[in-house]
Amino acid sequence: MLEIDQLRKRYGNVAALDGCSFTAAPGRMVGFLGPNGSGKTTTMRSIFGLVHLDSGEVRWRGAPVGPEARRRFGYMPEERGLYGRSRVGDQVRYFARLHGSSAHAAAEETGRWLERLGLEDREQSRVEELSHGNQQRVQLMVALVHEPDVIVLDEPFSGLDPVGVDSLGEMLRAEAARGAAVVFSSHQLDLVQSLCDDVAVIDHGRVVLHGDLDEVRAASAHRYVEASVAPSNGGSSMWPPRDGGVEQVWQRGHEVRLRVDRGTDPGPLLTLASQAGTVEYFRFEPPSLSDLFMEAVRR
Amino acid sequence: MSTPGIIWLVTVREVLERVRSRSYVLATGAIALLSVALVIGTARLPDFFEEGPARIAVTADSNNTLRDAINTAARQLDVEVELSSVDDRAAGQAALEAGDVDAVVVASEREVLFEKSDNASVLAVVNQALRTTELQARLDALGLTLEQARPLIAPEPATVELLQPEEPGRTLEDGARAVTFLSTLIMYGALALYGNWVLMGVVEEKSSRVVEVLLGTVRPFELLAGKVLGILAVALSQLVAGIAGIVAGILLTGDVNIPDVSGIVLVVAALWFVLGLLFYNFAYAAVGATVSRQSDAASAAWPLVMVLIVPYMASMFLIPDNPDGLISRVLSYLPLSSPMAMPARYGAGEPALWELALSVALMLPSIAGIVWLAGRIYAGAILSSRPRVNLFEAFRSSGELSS
Repeated sequence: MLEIDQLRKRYGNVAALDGCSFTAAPGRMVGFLGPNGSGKTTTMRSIFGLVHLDSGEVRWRGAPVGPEARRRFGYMPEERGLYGRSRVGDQVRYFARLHGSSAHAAAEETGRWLERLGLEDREQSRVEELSHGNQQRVQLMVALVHEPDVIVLDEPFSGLDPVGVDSLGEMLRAEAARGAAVVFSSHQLDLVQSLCDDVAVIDHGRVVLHGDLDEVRAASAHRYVEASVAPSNGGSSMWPPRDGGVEQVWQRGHEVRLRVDRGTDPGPLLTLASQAGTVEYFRFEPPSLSDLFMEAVRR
Repeated sequence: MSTPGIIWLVTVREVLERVRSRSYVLATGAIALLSVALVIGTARLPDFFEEGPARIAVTADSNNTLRDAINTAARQLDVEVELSSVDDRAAGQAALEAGDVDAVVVASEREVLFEKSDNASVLAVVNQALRTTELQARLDALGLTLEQARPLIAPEPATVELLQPEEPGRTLEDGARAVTFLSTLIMYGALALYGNWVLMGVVEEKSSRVVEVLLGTVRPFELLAGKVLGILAVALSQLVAGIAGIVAGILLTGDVNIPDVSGIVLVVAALWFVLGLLFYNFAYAAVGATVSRQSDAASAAWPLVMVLIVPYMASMFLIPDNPDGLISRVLSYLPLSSPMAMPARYGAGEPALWELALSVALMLPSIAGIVWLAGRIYAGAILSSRPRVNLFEAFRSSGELSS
């Protein structure tokens, strides 16, 4: 278990981290979310000792994380960085070696990853000669080549096309299935919802929501109704309802999304809708990650 | 993996990346070839530039006295001559036209023949020889000896007194001076060149942001030490290429009048090559960590260049003439200047062994000190996103990273 425990860090008058805490378990993927400037990058850098914390601690398997533990971590920082003039194969092997792989193992791991990412014919190319997408792949290899116990990726999906997003998602799922604890940040909430087991939402340097995604969704005090109702002549004008604890999230043409209390019975709502016209669809569901996020960081 | 293991990996990468580059192969080849050329040039150039002895032919109607007098006069006037005989004026003229001789003395005519223009030193030698032989003949006729006649002919020459005679051994032979200049030049060039490699290497890692990926798994000090040691190893390989070139040159020319450099001078120079690069390269790395763009690197490094200029100028222009003076001694002890000043003193004189021991004893803890200092500055500045970090700030904020 990777434990991020009460991290605090001030830069001048600004509290970048203000008691940030969450955990990441082996075999699970944690989506680490938060508005810009909320402390995501600072938290991730703290895991790698790149920030001198005012207080708090990062632990792995119960012990404070030090250089030896970090050797078994993989990191992809927000600002990507590689040796532009080095050859792809040399570079990936070098990072595997720095992470503790023997020369033999590093060569083997590098070969396997080059094949997995379809770069085996670019092994001798210099990184600066590669396309942007392929440079991203090399960056990913550098983070993953040594089969890390903990994988931390800062915005790994930014700049990827849908196909790239899909294959990276699959790859990270495979890493988690192998037993790695995976933490990544993203602004693509739908993506996180489809990919992650757990979420941690940070705001103003403090984690405001954390846990198993299905559980936090179920535990929410709200439920959401999304429906499309085409009004008919002589239908009631009671749809969408505007009282009784119903709050409208948005409306687009006939479509509407409503927030209601958790205990609300969807039956009467459906009745109201059908009295107003033709119900094209009607959904009653726990909040999406996007809803949770907006609830959590609403100021 | 242990810290030495990590440093080793970083060092090996640094060496391989540099040694595999085309510029390294070309530069190292050029160093070796230039060294060969230097030795061959030193051995051959004097022959090329210096004229040989003046070849003077004397006609057969002269007597041996004239020939002896020419030799004597040549010695007195410090002119090298090579005497030969021709039968008569016509034969002399032919030899002159054929280029076999430079001048012909027709003894009976008191005449000297040249081809295109006269040669003042040959003329002076011949004239003095003629004067002496003639004088001798006249004295013989009068029954006087040269000693008796001398006061009549010329007054005693002025006596010379040196008010501040130079101490023996103070002035340098040209060869030793050349060696001192060369070693200073090489040392200065090496400190500036390889320092710049370290500087640019650190800036490259910082500006490409690869340093953050690296520091996720290695400590700043390991990265810093590996880079400096890697570049030191590459520098040594180029030094070896230069030495190999010199050895090859000596073997090729066979017999070279190598300036009298004792083995200890070479050992001292090599020792200071290593110590100096260690000291200065850590300093360059610290400076490199404070800038984010290649274009800012040179202006950040200028204080170091200034620091290097002082011992360079001293070793070029002060120490060769006064190797044991106070300033020379102090410069050869202080770590900032000893890498250039101590080899220069060894080239110019013979410093005592305790002086060498003293400057090494001062240098080693200074290297440890600069490693510590550079480590803190490096750790404090390398992850900063600001374009320029103040050295002092970097030193203080090094707590940002566990160095």
